[in-house]
Amino acid sequence: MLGSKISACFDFVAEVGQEVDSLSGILRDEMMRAMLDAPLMQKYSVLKWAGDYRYSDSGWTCTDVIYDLPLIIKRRRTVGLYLGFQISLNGPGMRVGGNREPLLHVFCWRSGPASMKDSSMAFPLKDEGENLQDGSLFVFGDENRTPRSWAFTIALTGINTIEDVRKKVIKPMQALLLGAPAREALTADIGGLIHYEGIEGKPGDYTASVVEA
Amino acid sequence: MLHAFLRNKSGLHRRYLPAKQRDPGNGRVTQEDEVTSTVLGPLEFLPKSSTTLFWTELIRTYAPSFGLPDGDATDAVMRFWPTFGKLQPDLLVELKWGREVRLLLIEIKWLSNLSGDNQLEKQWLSCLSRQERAVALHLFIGIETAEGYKALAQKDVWGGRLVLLSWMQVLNTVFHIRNADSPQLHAWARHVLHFLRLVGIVPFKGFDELSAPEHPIGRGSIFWRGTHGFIGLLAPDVPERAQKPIFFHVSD
Repeated sequence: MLGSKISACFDFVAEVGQEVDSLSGILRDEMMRAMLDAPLMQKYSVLKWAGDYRYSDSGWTCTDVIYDLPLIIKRRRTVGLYLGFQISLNGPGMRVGGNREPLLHVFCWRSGPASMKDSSMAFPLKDEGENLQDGSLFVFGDENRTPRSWAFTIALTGINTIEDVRKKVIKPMQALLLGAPAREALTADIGGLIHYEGIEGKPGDYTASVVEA
Repeated sequence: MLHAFLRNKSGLHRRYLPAKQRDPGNGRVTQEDEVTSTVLGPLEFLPKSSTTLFWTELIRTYAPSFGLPDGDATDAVMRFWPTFGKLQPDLLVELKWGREVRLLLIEIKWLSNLSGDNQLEKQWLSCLSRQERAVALHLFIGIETAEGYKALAQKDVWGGRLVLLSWMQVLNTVFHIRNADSPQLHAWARHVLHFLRLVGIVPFKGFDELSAPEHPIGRGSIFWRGTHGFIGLLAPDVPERAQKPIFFHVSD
């Protein structure tokens, strides 16, 4: 019985991993495509995707993937931001406030290229100087600086089709890149949005709950 | 492969010739033509309703603003490697709704880069007349779309008509329509899904159809402890609220 469970679990991990890989491909394609939209194309141009993985301590399972795309801010002519996503199945990328759901973080921030060690979402957040807007959008550093540095989170298992990717990831991402506030870009009808709440006396730590549509 | 052989795009058949007739020095990259032919070639043999379904579904998904006529297309004519003077795009698809026509000019890449900086620009401006461009889309299909993006960022002559697609996106459309029309479409989809899986391109099916093992093992993040043997591992039911997060869980 135990043996068959172990074997079944490995089958399951492999299947989950395949979906994570395929979803990562879709996210990269759809994010790239979104950057071709006229209003975004006027502000930014993009370079090439970079990616990284994190493995469990024993090295047996892959727990996180992260990809980012360097954005060149056209009026400054330098890489100023990294737009990307992180899928966390286990570990500090999703272990926040009792949450046990795998998470998809969508971000646009100043550190990169993609590295699970050096530039990823990992709780508790350390010295990020983050502000939480409307419980759903982390804004890092000076809130008034443009373009902003931000991240939001979606429950992974609610993303099952390309329509989900567009509704839950791409549309909010486009709005945020164009400067929309959290209350406009991240509305509850997205479904599966993670709502964070700060914990008193524990900076960088949050409770997390899923906002159902 | 039949299409590639027919238009002399592939030397693969030489592998089947006697050794002295083989051409070991043939270094020309024909991969993308072979893949084009292998994956898209059979579409020509499917019932018209299946061929048109594939192309219209692809466009409606990835270029929704193009505005295809409503309803099912009535005909699709596919021309592989048509020649326009010195230019030879990979495919030209003519979709018809009665008298209404839409054109898809398609450049396909596998592992190679675009030929020259302005290959796509030249194709769009030279292969189609102004009237044709008014009802046409230019599709770039590659393993990655960065090459197409570069072309667009350099000079945008398309005004929204260049659509960058990855093989993964094409495959997702194949997966999506695999049961939708004819048995022939289903068979083609099955082969294409299989072939592309062999080269590492797998469609996204979603998480909600995965079935988790019934009683997953939940011991923090430790999967097994080698020194204590497997017998010590218990597979408890997953509690409503785990003390520590766990990877496996029974879906509700």
